Amino acid sequence: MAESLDTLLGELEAIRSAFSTEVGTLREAQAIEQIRVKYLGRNGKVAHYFKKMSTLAPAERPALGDSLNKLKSEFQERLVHLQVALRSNGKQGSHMFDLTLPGTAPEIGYRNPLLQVLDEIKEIFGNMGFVVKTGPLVENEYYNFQALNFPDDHPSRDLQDTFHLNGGLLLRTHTSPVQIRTMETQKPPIRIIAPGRCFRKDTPDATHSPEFHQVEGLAVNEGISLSHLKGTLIAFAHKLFGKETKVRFRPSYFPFTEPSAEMDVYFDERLGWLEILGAGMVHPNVLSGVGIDPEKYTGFAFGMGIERIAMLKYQIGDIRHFYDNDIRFLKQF
Amino acid sequence: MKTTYNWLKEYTDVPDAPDALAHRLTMLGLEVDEVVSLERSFQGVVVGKVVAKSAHPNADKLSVCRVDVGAEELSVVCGAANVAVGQKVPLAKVGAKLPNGVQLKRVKIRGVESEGMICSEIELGISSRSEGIMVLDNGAKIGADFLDVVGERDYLIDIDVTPNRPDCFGVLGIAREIATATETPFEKPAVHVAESTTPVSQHVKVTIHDSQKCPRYTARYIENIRVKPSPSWLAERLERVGIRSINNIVDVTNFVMMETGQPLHAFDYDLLTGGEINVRCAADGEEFMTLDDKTHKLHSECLLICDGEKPVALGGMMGGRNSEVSADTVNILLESAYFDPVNIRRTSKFLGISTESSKRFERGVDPNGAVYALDRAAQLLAELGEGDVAKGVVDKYPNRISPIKIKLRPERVRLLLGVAIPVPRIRSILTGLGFDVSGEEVLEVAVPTFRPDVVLEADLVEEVGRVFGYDNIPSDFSAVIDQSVPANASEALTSRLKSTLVALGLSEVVTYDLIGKDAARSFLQEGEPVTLIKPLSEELSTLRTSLIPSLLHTVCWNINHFNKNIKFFEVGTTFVADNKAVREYEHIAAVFTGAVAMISWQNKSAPVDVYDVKGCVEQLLTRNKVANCRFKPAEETSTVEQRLQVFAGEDVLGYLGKLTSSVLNHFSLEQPVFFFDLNLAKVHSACTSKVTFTPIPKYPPINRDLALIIDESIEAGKIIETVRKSGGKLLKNIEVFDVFTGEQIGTGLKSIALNLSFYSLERTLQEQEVEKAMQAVLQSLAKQFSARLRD
Repeated sequence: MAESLDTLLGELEAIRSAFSTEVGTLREAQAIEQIRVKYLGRNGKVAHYFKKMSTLAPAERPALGDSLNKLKSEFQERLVHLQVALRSNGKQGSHMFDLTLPGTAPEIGYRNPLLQVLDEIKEIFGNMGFVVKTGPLVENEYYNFQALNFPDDHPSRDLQDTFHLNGGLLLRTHTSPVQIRTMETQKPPIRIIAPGRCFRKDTPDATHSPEFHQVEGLAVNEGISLSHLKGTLIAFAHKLFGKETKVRFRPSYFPFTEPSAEMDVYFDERLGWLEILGAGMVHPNVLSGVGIDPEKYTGFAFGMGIERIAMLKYQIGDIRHFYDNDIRFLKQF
Repeated sequence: MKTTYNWLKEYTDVPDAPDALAHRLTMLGLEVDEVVSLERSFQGVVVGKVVAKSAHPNADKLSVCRVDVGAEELSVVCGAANVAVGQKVPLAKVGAKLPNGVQLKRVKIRGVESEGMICSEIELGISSRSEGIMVLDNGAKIGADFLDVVGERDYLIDIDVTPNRPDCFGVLGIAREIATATETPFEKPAVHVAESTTPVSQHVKVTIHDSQKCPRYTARYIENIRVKPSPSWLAERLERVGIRSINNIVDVTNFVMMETGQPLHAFDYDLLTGGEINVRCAADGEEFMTLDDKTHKLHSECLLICDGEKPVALGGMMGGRNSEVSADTVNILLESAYFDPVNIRRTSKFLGISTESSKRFERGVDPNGAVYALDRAAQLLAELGEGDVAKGVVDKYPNRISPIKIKLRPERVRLLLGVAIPVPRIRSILTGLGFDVSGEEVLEVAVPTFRPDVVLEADLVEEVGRVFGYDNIPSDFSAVIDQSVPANASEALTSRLKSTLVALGLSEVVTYDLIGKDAARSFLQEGEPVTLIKPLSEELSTLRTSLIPSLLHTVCWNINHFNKNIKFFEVGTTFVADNKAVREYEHIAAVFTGAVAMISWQNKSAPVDVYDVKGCVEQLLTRNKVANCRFKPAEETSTVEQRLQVFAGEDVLGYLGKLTSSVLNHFSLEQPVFFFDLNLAKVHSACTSKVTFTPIPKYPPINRDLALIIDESIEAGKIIETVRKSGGKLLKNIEVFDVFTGEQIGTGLKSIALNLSFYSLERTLQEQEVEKAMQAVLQSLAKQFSARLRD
């Protein structure tokens, strides 16, 4: 018996609403499979109507086919959603999942940007063969000044206002004493960096901190020249600030290097050239003071302030941020 | 050191524009801080000639002048006493705009209309002198723009001179640098002193009592001098570099100091008793008043310049009030000396004063330049003050300081700089800088006494290198690295420990080593805290004895800035004084407060407790291969409760626990704070660097749960210990999965639930073996703790 298309389409509507009702009251994930079989299975309701296709006039068949295909994909889609939404494993029960809620991230820690920059610098020099050395923060006059060729009662001491302790001790004003301590015990070739904390009697403000960090570098061997110093530090600047970075060296003065230099990096139109580090060839008095023959060996040394570099790198305007450790600050790096 | 572009041009040809010159100086090692254009606007100011002067009808102190400005003649009311007919003056016409911002209007002054204003130097912004109008040179053209009269535009150049370069504390020294770099001639101004016939020895007698502290003292005597304002070129030159113009005498001494770097002093000769100068050390406690009206208490190292009976100047620092040049001065004694740099520096530090003079002496002026500066000043004083300079110089210089000689090997230049500079270039650089160079293979270099910083061959190499240009030295990127030196292992380990803590959700902070004394004391474990002799403040007076106080500061900061959930750690140093020696210990410490995990819509806030900290430390240590890490409850202290000692085997690594309310009160903290604090060196030595693979079991484990009811006072650690001992070899792991007290259990009792995991690497376990082991465990527990199974 031939059935009319309209009748069949009406019946499909009834199936759709029956499906909706069943799905709407469903609370158990396992029941999804039963519904799937009932509607979409090989002998399911949708299949049943596909079989009726042949009873229609050929011209009417595509209309029924379209409706059936639509119904089938609609049912499939709803069942997938239902599957996600229904998890009947214990506590969650029949809780409806809302995938638009924010995710719950596990907590992670952050690192102070100052030490991140310090680590970056250590890594750059580490890859060039510089080995990390450390030394005490409480030093004496000899290691902090005399062995580094700072004359007594010389204005060069004004460059570094010192915190003194009892018993002729002081807080090191730079990491350079580590140079001396290393050369006292190690013969050339020497290739070290000395990262660490230093102290100068500066009242804290936006650009000054009584405590700060430095990385000192030292290379001593036969035949080391200012050319090597330039090559090493240019490579460093390119790795830290990018390969296109413009770098210049200009003469300067440090008691423990001769010739001495400062390295500037060109930032931009507004900031121009900014001093990044001090450097030079190790002063012959420093070498002979630790028993290294300055006729045979030469070396270069350099030192840089980490706060300054980190401030430039991240455009931080106030040095105190590093020491306040506001979590909103730390989370930015 | 401040100079101006035009001033430098007086001594050498400057081929550069101001900015290019600044760059050149910077690249020579004379870093230029800034270049400031000194351009001024004198819009509407012209040269006028006073052609008539009459008294103001209504005011005694005013006059009415007729001033010829070329195109017209103006009637101007003037208040200055020094205005006179015939003078050429700067006249600001109606509508003129002065540098101080004043715009001139047509006004009536006491009933008389004024068509302009005759200006003083201060009104024109040329100098700070305000006594009377500015009188121009007679050659000035009437009606000319005033800007043409005061000369071309100038630039202030501010140079950050390094402490080793005293010669560049004079404009001549800087000019010499430029001349050498540009390979152009440099000439010091020629000096010719017109002397009278009176011999200086008739008036001045100088005795040096301490030639160590004062190796040279030179003096001249100038009589019948007129103290008056300096001519505008001089006043202006000084004002431009920030020195106030005072009068012709003082200005000349300052000018010559700025020019040559040699400080000079002028005494009012008639205030010096006996025409004598005695250079001696002060007596301990001797007092002296300098010309700034300050009285200084001296010690026996301070140098005094005295006359026949009293001190008249603090040598190298400042003149005395009692012998200062004043408007009434007629005769002067001019001093140009060389003082020992070290002693001047000590005096300056001791008295806490630093002057333009002391700044130069402590760096070392040229001992052989004293007379040149003296003569230069005498010549100017004779010209500007119409004084008569007595014949000759008194020059006390018992031990002449001669130039030192240094050998310079061109090969050494190549070795240190990494570039071979031709010998003729080396020679010309050094000669240009004032060195005397002789020799061929090895150069023999005599160092001028104005360069006390050059004492070694390396110093000469720097001179050559910086003039040659660091930019012209090639960069060598090749380097032979000694690969036999191992990397620093403890650095790597510290870095791993930090990474673990960051992964555990702790953030790394950096805090000061300096803290307050009270905090340092309360966390002291042994010895004494280390304190600074002169701290910046009480809060930064003592080296920390523990990282905890500084960490608590960061907690306070964050709580005060709206963040109550904090987990921070730091790796830092602690300090203890022990028999005069200071010991430093590296620590790794952390503080925990607020919620244990990130709060979200799903995770409700749970406050951190001591178990969280214990778990964190356990993770930190086991993750980094600390063998036998264990915890032992320890006695509470005034700072810590719920205190646990952390061990690796028998070694104490540190502590963890909860900070007591007395600590929290000290920091005004209201929420509980927990911490751990471990000695880093001990953690390092407990870490096993070598990791060896343990086979993964092939056979399935058998797990058994054990819910026990025991007396509430029995510690879980003891139960676990007993289980471990009695469980046999197959028992590989024990987890506590529940602890419970409540009515169901009964008062004074608790339930503790354990999961026991049994497995063998060799075979599949039989139920019976596990059952046997469980029986043994239960028997031991029943025997030792009367434990029974929960129903």
